[in-house]
Amino acid sequence: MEHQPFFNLEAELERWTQMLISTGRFSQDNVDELESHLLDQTEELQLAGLAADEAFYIALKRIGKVEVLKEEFTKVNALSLYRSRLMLLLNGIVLFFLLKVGAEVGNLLLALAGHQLQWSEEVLLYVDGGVKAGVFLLMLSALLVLLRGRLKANQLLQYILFPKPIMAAVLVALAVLSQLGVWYVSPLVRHEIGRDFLFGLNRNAVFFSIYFFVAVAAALLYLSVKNRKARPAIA
Amino acid sequence: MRDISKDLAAASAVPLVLSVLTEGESYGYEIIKTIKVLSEDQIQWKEGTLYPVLHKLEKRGFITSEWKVSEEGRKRKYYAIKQEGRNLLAEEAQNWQTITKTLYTLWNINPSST
Repeated sequence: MEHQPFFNLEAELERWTQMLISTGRFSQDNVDELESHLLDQTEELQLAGLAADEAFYIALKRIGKVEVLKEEFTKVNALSLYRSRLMLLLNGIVLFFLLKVGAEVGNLLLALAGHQLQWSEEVLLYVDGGVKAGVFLLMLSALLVLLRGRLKANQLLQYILFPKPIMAAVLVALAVLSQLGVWYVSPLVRHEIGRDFLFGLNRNAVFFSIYFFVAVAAALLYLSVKNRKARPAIA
Repeated sequence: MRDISKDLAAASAVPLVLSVLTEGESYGYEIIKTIKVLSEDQIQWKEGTLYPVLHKLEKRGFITSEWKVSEEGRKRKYYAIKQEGRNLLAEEAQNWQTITKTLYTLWNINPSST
């Protein structure tokens, strides 16, 4: 085996753990455990006189292909993985509706305040949008603070992608449904639509996207908290 | 003893793991090595065999796990046996003894002379 003059164990490990994570079948705890195993094996081979790169590649070969590992882990994990994803989905749904309720209460308070202060419709619209954008930014920064140092940027992407299309599809469907519900149920909005359908539509389109991002942020937040729990307490 | 069939490997993994853990807590890599040495290189588990067994045993409440840091600063997940695990092992031990005793009788092997 040829020696690599600039062998970087950290980078190679990172590449391998990314491969595991991207299968979506290993929990963070599983990945940490396998990584620890791989390092033990590498260390032992190094003690036996192998160079770092040789030791690592042989250890990698012994631990087996990611595909095979995935299959064997999935046999045991399948049900719990499925269950934890379902729980995640349910949590997301509950969070989403809580946010909806919060937003509706906010709308009502704002409408009352606007009525009291005699704000024009335009001012009301801007204040409303501003408050919601502020809440979104607040949540986003809280998320980033929570995640800081926990996940690297490319790992973060993995966690955004983790729920896969079905999750995104369900979120979009929920957002659309609830938005439709608001149009039909909320007297405030219905009144607005009755008067100016296009304006109402535009306005709702703006908030649709805001609600959607808030829901995604909440899901991310939950994932990061879950991930933190799965990780060892030491860091 | 060349290739142990998949079924036999899977069936024997639980009593083997539990028995190793009765000697004290251990982590995956060490368990594989212990079994390899004790079996004189006859049983060489792959990671994909052992870890799912450990996780299953933990989920069912027979063993516990805990992340610890070694003196060199390496973190490892240690497994320890619970009372439930000891009870399971006692049952397993009886079953395995029944099976080996029957086989020995059929093969006319005197267990005490082996």
